[in-house]
Amino acid sequence: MMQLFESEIKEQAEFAWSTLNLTITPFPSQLDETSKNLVTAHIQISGDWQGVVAMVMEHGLAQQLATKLFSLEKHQVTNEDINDSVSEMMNIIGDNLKSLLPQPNQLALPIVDLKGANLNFPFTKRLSKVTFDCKGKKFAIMIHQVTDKKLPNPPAEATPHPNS
Amino acid sequence: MQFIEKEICEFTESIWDSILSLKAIPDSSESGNSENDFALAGCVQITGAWEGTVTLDFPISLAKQVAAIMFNLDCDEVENSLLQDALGELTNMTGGNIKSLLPEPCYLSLPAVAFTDSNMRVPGSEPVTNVTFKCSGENFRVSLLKKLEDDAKNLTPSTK
Repeated sequence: MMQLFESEIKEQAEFAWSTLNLTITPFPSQLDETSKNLVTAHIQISGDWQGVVAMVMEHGLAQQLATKLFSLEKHQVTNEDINDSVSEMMNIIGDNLKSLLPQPNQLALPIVDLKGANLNFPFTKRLSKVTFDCKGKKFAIMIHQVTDKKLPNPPAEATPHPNS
Repeated sequence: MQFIEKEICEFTESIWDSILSLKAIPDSSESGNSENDFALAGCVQITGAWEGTVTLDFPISLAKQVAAIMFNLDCDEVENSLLQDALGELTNMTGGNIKSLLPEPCYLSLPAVAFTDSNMRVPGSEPVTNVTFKCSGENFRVSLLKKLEDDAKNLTPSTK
């Protein structure tokens, strides 16, 4: 059974990566999100639809992305370049998916982690995860939507704070 | 003093005292955990009239203690998912308090939590405030980053 937004994720990801002359294909197995060799990124969407679009990829693929985006040789790529290129790709995919969601909504800044694992979004449920292969390296894109999940034993009243 | 540093200290101490019955004390010394011990990170973004990110960095051991208190468990019963829920809640509360000090209207994003060796980075933003706290002999950190203005962002490749 197809996941919610699965076809949209495939379409937007294939298009975004094709602009860098990189061909990606959906991969039937799941990417292990507990691996410590992953670069993770996420971008939040708020407004009439609230949730997160996230991306995790093998470090080697993130390097390759930087070489393509900034026209660098592999040995020239720095962590800063990887941060910026993954951030840019996250922004593009997030923006494209955002336009398919209930309007109006806004996109936040992407956040990147060069050695992240188990990226999690409390108070959300995962709607979809699609894993792709790009020249033997894997990455995955996920969409989470906010829920009204609460802690099982709500803590005592704290200093009240306004929250939008 | 850094931007709203005093208020961050007050909010953090208040949240930890009232929610967890723990003392979190601002610590400007070099003692305690090193950078590499902050293995769990939570972040929440603020958008609107002021734009930026609030991040919390924790050692796993302190996060377990927090989660154990929040969920009424022994430390060794705390699973990774509960660790992340607990840090997400703390990040949400801290971010919400900070948001209340910023120009209106501002909106708080959902928290994100991850196990990390290198810290979450927010390209296009700069750190404005970093406060380290000591609790139960360990350090954790609250940071505030501000989004750079569009003309100050630099997406060009690094100089070779």
